[in-house]
Amino acid sequence: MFGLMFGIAATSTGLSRSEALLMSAFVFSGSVQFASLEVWNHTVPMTTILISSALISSRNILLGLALIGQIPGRDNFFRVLSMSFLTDPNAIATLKLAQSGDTKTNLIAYMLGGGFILHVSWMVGTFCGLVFTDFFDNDQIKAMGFSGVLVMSTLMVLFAKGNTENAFPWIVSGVCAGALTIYGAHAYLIMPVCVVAGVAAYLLKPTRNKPTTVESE
Amino acid sequence: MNQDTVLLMILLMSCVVLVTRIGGYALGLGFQKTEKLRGILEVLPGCAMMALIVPGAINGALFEIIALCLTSLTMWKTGSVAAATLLGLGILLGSSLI
Repeated sequence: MFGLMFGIAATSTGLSRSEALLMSAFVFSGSVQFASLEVWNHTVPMTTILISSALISSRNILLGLALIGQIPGRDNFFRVLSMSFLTDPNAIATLKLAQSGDTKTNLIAYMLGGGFILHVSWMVGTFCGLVFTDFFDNDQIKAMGFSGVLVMSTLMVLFAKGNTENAFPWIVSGVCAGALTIYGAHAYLIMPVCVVAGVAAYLLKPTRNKPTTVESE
Repeated sequence: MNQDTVLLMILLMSCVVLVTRIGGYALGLGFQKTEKLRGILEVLPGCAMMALIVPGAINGALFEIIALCLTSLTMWKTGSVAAATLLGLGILLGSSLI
């Protein structure tokens, strides 16, 4: 579904079919690709797109850290290869399998195979989205240009549902983005300022005292 | 952007994503992960997404804002990505007919 939406959003942003397919093939990250489309046609420096890509995909670092110790074996080449296909559903499925105590399944092969299937479906979805836009005129394609923001909002809801504790830094970042947009700040300033504000809000947020248990005493 | 710049951009983006994919694993082999670091890494993507969603919503037309609200609400209530995005897309397409 996200692949299909990316194909549509890429067309309305002005990317050619080959460019959109190339981006899906090499980047293979929904959130990063949609985010880049949002600033693609603005006069922002290349580094802004790259910094926003790094910030959004920083979640992969967390997934990589979670997989430490879960993937046994000494073959570093296949380990690195499997990590290059790392995505949320792939990592979660691998972690679940690792924690289930299944010793028969080769986890590196499982992750590599899962990643490859996801990659193929992502490519097929993008292609279908690109073909889908053939049935619409320019006005309708232009109207669908907002679909990138819609997809990012669904991803945001997924984040929020999975981790309500982090709502406060996200709200701070959102309020900051709103204020800067109304103030007329340039697109390349909004991203770093909002991220710094959000992280500062997280670090300054008072932590709840955990209830003392008999065990901890 | 001209085609060369687009291709360079795609290549650099893929490098950045690849570094985060392999980097987490590599970092974990040498670093002790702390609760603070884990928390920051959990917060970062959401903050970056908000910095893109909110300006899009503020600069959006009325139909786009309605589509955004209904998509988010449907996602929250049903948890279905397909239902939420199709609804939003339908509203956007409908707005182009008016």
